[in-house]
Amino acid sequence: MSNNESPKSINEHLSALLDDETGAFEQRRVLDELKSDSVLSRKLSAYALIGETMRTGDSEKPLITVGTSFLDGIHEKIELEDDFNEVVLDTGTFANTNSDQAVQTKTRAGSTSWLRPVGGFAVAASVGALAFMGLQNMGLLNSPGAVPSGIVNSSSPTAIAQTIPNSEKVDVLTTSTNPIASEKDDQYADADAQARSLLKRYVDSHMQYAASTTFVPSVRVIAYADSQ
Amino acid sequence: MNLFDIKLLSFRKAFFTAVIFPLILAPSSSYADESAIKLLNKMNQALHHLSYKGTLVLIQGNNVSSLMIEHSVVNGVQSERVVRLNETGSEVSREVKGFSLSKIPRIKPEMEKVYSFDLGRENRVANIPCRIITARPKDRKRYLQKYCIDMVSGMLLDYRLVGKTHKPVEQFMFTNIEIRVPETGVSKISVNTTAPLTPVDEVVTAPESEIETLLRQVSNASLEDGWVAEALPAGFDIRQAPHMKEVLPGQEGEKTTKHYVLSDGLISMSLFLTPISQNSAPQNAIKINSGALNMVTQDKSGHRITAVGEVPELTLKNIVKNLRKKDK
Repeated sequence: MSNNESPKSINEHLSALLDDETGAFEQRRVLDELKSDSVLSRKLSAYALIGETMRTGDSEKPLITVGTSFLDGIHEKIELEDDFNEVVLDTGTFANTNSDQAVQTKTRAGSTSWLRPVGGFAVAASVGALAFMGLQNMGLLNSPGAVPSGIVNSSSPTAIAQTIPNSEKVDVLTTSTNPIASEKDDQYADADAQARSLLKRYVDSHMQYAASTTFVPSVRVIAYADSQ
Repeated sequence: MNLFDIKLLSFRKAFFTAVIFPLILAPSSSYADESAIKLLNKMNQALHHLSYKGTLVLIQGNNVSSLMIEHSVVNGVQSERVVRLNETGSEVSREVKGFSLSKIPRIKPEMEKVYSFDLGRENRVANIPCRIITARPKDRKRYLQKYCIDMVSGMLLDYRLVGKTHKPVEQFMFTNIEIRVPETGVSKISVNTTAPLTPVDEVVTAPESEIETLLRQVSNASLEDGWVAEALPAGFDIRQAPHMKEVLPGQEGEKTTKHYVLSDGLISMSLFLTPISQNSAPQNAIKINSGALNMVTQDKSGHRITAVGEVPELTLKNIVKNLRKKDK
């Protein structure tokens, strides 16, 4: 039983098991222990996750925290992601974006921000939640004060909004000629319900009739001008 | 060695390289593909017919979450519940809609035109040996998909969608799983849960045929209202889903949205076309840095076009770009 092992030893066994480096005897022994040891099972989950994160992960944003359980760290991260607390309206990164019409503003959304309800769904949020998030931005950008009546050049993106959880920068590109108007939090909420409902319906309908993925979708949206 | 001998040797080498060597390789390569497809289809069956319960790690970009998934088949009816877990194994969120392993489609022969299915090495996930299968797109317009499948039960234990940077855009991996084969009721590995799980969301999966009956096959050259989808990526066909009625932000009155489903059999996209006022503002929206699902919106010819799908962003952009309205 794992209680008779030093933690270091069992950790090494688990790590070796995940790396396929255990011999047949050791492998059988660890697997036998896993069947009856819940702590060990959780550790294995954590180690598997660490392995995956290391293989695929982003070293700039380490998910791993020191503690008895790796999942502690993950859920701490989830907690921290409650606030989508920064919005930046920025000029285009797309080569064809009409820079004359793009604007750059920066908005900090406070605790009453339209962004707050989004936060809880930051990690692997449900379809609806992500759609919700998307449409809050759509609402923002489509509000009368934020969006110009003019249409920019054909076949080039006119707007990109990007939301990144937790204090990471959120870039929003817009064709707006009135950046000041975009800075007001109230305007974000104006079209929320309508816009939210629209994107949610698109994503839901896609999930119903078309989706082939097992995953809870995340949404990335790029908007274009009228190409006529 | 005279000149004749040298020529003969060269000829033998050329003959071996050009004729014999491919003959030796061909059967094994073909066998590998066939085995890969068989195993994928076994997996597809298993995901519908097995009862299983397990914990998995879901990674979407840099976001990680832990889910408990339970799938059961009672009298031929599948039910599934997915709960987000905290460290102690108890529920932390109300529900996780949209995650379902049974959505993975069956592999059909025509998919080989756009994907090559390769049998890879053996791996081990959740202490279960599994075989890696890769569905490698033959163009760069879709994600590469990697599966690790338990060869005994057919259960999918690890699945990832890989973008062109060779990093998974989304992935899940079981960390423990209990699989019950219906006939025998044998449990492969017991699950250790330290706290009781409260089911919060139960979904009875609608039979695929029900959805299929609502979709109508259409030609890419004859979408409604004179729209034509040009230069679609290879292997995609188009079907029309039921119309939607909706009110667009900044638009007056209710609009009818046409919903088209584009699929190569393995992945799908949706195309939504909604009429808008000519003088309306361009659509603006959001980009989230994780996950495989992308969305693109463009206003074109008096319509707001929205494309959604589990394909790279560029693919969606090109599909929207190549959608044209014929002059009447």
